[in-house]
Amino acid sequence: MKNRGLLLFIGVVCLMSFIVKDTYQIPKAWPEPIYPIGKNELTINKVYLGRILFYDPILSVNHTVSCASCHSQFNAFTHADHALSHGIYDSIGTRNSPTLMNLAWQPYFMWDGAINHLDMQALAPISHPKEMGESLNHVLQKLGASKRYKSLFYKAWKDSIPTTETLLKSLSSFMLTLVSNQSKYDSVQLGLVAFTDQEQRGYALFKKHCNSCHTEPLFTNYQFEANGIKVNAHLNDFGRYAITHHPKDSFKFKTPTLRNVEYSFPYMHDGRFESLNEVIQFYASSSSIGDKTKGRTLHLDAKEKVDLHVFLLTLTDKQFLFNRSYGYPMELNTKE
Amino acid sequence: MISKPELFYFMRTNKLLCFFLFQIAFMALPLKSIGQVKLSFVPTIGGAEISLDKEYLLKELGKVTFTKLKFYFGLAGDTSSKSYFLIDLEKKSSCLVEFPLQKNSLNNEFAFWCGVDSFTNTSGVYMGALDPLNGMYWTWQSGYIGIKLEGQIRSMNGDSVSFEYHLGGYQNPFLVCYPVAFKNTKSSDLLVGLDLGRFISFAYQNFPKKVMTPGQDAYLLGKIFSESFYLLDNEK
Ligand code: HEC
Ligand code: HEC
Repeated sequence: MKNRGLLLFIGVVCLMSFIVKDTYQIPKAWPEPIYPIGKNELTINKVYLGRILFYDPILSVNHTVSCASCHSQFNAFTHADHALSHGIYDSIGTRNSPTLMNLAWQPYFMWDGAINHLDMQALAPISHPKEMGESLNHVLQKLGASKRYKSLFYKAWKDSIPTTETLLKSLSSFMLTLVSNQSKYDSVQLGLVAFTDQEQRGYALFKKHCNSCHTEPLFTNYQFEANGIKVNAHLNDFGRYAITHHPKDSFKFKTPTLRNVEYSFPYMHDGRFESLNEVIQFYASSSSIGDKTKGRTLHLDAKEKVDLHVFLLTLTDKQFLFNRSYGYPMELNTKE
Repeated sequence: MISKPELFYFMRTNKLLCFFLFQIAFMALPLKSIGQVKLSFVPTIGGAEISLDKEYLLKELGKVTFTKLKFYFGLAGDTSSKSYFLIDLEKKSSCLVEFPLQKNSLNNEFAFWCGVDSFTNTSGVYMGALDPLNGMYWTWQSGYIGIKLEGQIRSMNGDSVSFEYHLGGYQNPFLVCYPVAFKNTKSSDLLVGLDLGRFISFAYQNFPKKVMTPGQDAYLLGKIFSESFYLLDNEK
């Protein structure tokens, strides 16, 4: 009986791994994803529905703001025009929108980890008075009354009436496809091309000073860290502390990935730095955490700063930034 | 219908399939229930049943009106979403829950959870009682509000103060999910009182009037709330 149970278990696991393999490619040498893809099998129809939802301002109360308003593809799905997020009626939020990529590997979301599951993420902007100002109930009503969405939901879920689950899982489906693993760095890892000497020097500096937090291959350790930036007195953002109430978490923020960092300006949770130069300048200054493991500030001379900068540019993934299947869906231009 | 020989033939040629089918049947067997439990929740003050939007005398504090009472009730020992009920005093029918008696509750002991366990809190979207549409999910951060109690207290001198308790949290050490157990229950038809008089007097005198985020206050208030359940005498 016990053995049979085990056999059955193994059978089920094998079956599930087939499903994952077919629909979701895990890049070589990357860890297993955290998102339970077995519970939300990706299909073309779900991903397409998620993409339409992502770009449709119908999710906001006055039909002016979509997810893409704050997460635009050309900036690796963050937004470039404001340091802090910009929602309905021109209200300004308190944080810079993060990039969206490789979300299947991310254990928690938001700068302070307030959200613990990708499926639950969309509830936050939808109901935030300064972001989309809607209610879940009303969004479901609007979608349920729309001819376009009835047919899209039917195709994706065999049920034309949208529910919390199908709405949220569709958005997740689209976001899960946002995988960036085609940068020069990745090609070098695969042995397809080589770094230039300058990039190689930058890489060495990176491994020495940055990799403990911005850990390869995802370029984040997904931990909450303090990198030494000074508290913004206007925002008084306590970071992770607001969630755990633990003093050790004061002013700690989730380490952001550095993939596509060339395009994800402005930088930090409050968008305080405009350029990578400023960021590197900061890390080389006395106020930065410096090298975590050695507990001293990091000294970079002018040449090293440039080398490090040049290495960061190898994390740019043009295939990702210009991938048509992530872009604005033309269907939204047609009247339903 | 298929005949017996046909069935045997099918079984011989599809050994693996039949093996799996039997397996599934076996695994389902122990879950079979041994009877139904009926449980009614009755909010009380001083032992008397109360309802929403009415004023009740609270000895030293004045008069209290509850405008909202909702909480999650979970079956102990089980973390699947099926085992959650949302009790909402506004919907009388939700105060009566029925479920199969589980094997482990045979010795006249009956146990449930008040609140939502942390596994469920971190496992994504659920439907039914746990659908975020029910207004028991925080949106600006993940997590269920396990207990929602709102209303106001009008003091003896006439001024009225409202209170809002949205108690929840899934991260240790502030997990709001408490076991409630009754021993020696005489029947499987239970009337469970919830002493709101005791709860609100204590909360009102010792805690802020609004507790709406996870943390120490929510943790302690959740504990006091869960200790306010008691078995009503008039067990059938
Ligand atoms: C008004 C701007 C705005 C809108 C609209 C918006 N977001 Fe965001 N998004 C943000 C900000 C700001 C954050 C970070 C908030 C924080 O950390 O507190 C964020 C965080 C996220 C994250 C977490 C990323 C991470 O790395 O932690 C995801 C995923 C996300 N948003 C998806 C969406 C989806 C899906 C929608 C549409 C339903 C959406 N956003 C709409 C501004 C916005
Ligand atoms: C102790 C951990 C730690 C180390 C070491 C570290 N960082 Fe960071 N880094 C962080 C955290 C945390 C943030 C986000 C801080 C915030 O927004 O408040 C961050 C943010 C950044 C950003 C902004 C990214 C964005 O999208 O906003 C860049 C760029 C960056 N770091 C580069 C580097 C470089 C280059 C190094 C090495 C010189 C380095 N970091 C070393 C923890 C670290």
